[in-house]
Amino acid sequence: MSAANIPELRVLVVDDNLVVRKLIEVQLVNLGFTGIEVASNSQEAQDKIAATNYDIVFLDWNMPGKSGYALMQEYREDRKYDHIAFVMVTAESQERYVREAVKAGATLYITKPISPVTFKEKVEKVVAWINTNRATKTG
Amino acid sequence: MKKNIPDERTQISDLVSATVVDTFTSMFGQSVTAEALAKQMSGEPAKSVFSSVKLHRGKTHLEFCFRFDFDLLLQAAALIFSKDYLASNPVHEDLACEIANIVCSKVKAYLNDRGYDTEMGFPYIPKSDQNPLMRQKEAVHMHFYYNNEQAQQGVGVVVNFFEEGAGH
Repeated sequence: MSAANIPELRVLVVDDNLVVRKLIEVQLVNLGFTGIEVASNSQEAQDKIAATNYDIVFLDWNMPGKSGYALMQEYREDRKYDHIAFVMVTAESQERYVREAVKAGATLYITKPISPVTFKEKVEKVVAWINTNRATKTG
Repeated sequence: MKKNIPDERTQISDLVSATVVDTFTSMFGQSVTAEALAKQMSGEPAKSVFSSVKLHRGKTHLEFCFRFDFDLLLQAAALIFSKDYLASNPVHEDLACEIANIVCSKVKAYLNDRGYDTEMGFPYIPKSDQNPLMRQKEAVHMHFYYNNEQAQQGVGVVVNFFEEGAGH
């Protein structure tokens, strides 16, 4: 599989807050992403993940109903979704939450408030992770 | 280790100030200024949006109430949404809840790092007749100012917090 080409990457943004969904979408568009979809809760996210082979999923940690954290845990138990970069987005900044997220399989952790500079740095790391993952599988 | 949240009022106020300013600046491109004391302004915002968050600790809770100037939220939203979208889709309540969520998450992290065992509820829009801002004399009051599109300074954000249920 070839290196990740940003416009070809399929991204899902999951957050119950309309403003956060749109903010992340706008910042992704500014970075060159084109294949962006959104979901406002975990059930909608599950339906979309079942239908589309996403490369990156941005997940809000705390959402009414099933949390983004719980959703990520479920997918990380299934090797079929190993290729997906799960990015936890949350205002939770305690170190223990970061450790928990990484332990549960989060590729990256973004704490709010999200600045465009920090967001760009994080997305570059995610793309690097995807490239490493693909190289490992083909190597 | 401190176990009395009222002892932390000054630290919480400082954290709220820093986070409100940082959130508006870095996430929504708006410059707001924290003021220790409310200045005498020419008038209250013509239209306000309220949001609230509760931090629970046993039988007590720390309640945060936010009041945003509608125009400030509109300026912030205009960075993300098109004018056409904003004309037909109200986003100000989502924005008010998100800012409250970010600020109170920082407070929760601060308190829990110091040994308080607090849990945070989801942000909500209070009913106007139940707004605790109007009935709490013991609350800490914080004001933030901004310049509107006409370069006139006004109160952009008011944050109040107080502990309820202590001593029960």
